[in-house]
Amino acid sequence: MSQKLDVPSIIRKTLGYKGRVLFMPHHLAHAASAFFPSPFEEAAVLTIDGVGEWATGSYGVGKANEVRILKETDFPDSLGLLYSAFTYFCGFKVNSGEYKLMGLAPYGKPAYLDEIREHIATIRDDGSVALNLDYFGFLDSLAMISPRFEELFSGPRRLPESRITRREMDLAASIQAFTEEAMLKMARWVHKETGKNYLCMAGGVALNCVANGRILSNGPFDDIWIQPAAGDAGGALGAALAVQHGYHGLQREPIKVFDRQKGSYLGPAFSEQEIDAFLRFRNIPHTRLGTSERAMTVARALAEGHVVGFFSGRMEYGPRALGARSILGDSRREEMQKLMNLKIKYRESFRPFAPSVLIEHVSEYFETEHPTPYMLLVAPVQKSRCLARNNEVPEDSDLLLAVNQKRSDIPAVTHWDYSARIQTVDKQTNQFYHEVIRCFEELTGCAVIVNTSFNVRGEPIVCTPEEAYRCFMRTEIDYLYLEGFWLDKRDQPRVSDEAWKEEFTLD
Amino acid sequence: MTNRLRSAALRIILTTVYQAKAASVAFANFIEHLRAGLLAVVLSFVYYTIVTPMAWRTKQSGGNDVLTWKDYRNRIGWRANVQSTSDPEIYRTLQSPRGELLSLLHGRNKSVLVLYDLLMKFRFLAKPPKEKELSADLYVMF
Repeated sequence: MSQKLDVPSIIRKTLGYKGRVLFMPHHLAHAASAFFPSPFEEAAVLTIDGVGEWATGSYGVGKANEVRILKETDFPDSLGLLYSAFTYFCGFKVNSGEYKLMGLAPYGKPAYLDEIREHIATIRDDGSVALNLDYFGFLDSLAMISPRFEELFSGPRRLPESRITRREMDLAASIQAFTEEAMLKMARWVHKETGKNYLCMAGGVALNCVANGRILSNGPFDDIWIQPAAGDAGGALGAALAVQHGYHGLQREPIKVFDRQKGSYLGPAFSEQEIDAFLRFRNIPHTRLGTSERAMTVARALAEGHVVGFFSGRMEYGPRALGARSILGDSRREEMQKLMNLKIKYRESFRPFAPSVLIEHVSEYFETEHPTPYMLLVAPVQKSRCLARNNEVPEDSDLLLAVNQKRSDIPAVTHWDYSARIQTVDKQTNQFYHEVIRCFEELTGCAVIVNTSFNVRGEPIVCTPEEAYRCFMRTEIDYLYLEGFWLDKRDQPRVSDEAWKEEFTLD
Repeated sequence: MTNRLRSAALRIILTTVYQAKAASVAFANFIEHLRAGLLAVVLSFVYYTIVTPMAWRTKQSGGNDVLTWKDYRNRIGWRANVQSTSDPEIYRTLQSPRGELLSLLHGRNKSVLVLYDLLMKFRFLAKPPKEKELSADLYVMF
């Protein structure tokens, strides 16, 4: 409470700033973050999240230098809070574990969809939802759900890190189906109301890349663009852009490659000199690579089945690693998903990894030609690459046994339902990362690698060389590429620090 | 003789340090009890003398948000609320949180302002909860 009541002075003190502090409405900031960096000159804008002020969603129109919100939905009718309640009930952390629930959904069947519709929430024709608060705790307690929620789904919630059962898989599938239906209806309503051909999206719910894929393929819009930092972090960017264009009247920048987001590489970078100084100061064994051998060195290690920590250029803005602070692996290896999950990320292994694919080859591997540089769309793996498998997790089977079945010729990035959360990589946006994958293709004939964020369970993504080195040393990553420097784990001193594993809990 | 003096001095120092530590822990516990007790008294006072009459007044005037929230089949979906990034009025400067609250109230419901002023006086007693289950969005709201 003491912090919430005095935000301007906290901002001034933290940033050492003496000027005026401007505030703007939560969803208008989301809307600005969706439209201003987008490639469109005119588009509909849709924001959906938990709640900001009292709004839980909004839609409007963006044109040139202005974003105008027309309508909003209010608390407690919130698709975001509904999804978070199920996230909590399935044993994941609210506000950060929602993506896990989405990853779990393909293993289950929407067996509880009727119960959700009948008791918990309804979807109106305009896509807005109405929650039955008898099943939620946030009105009169400090809990997400009420005891009636537990009664409806036959028992208490799953405890974090305990075994995932058929119930959680089916609940995940049910709420995911409900969310997709609501989002699709919302998109159709917004299209009807605004008459625009393009859609920009933001708000935490817009990180649901499966629903986004459905809006793109089954929705009424010619194209969609989603803010990579769609969650509340992106509100800062939206507020800054709104002030720049709306308050000060500055023109939008011209489009670079696909949009104005610059590949979302908006974070800090570290020069070779800085990294050299760090390595020398810490007396860390390393090899300095010549410019021409860098990409091939990384690609060769990947082709040999090694896992590489990859630190290059400006850090990504948003929750996804996009080839600046990433852990990379070989997508063709059957054991790679298990290895990276259990020995490097130290987390549950039902979650698939995302593929980075050269944009010029995307349709050879996936059933899409749409550029998705921010991993915000899901598409099926090409049928010719898939292996015929049973698509149902057997009753009472250990989920991990099912997960480890090989499902395509790029098994490390193929989900249970043969989908993948794709990152297309192009030369103009991230030349060096593109070159690494091109070299990998030259060596293996495969233009797809595994890309996961450079962090371990629950930790934030690494930002500085020191954080990258610490993460490298605490995990079983084989090599670390550090902006032109190559570190081999076998050359490093041994560390026996295990206490850090308790430092962060799982999402 | 020197050894005996040294060990006596050491014993005195150790006893003093131990007692000082124990006293500081006891003092910290006392302060914590005092804080929690004061907070309970203040919140009870606020609850019975300000919040309850406010709630009764709201209930009698028929403007109870909670009842509207609970009646989920009668809530509306999208409602008009036009906001534009080109409207300078949309950017609030929030020079003072109290001024902001005053402008939001449009001169109505003075008891909210009294409540705010009173709680601000006692905010030094507040402590964040250790475990959080709710969505962070809801923590920001309430």
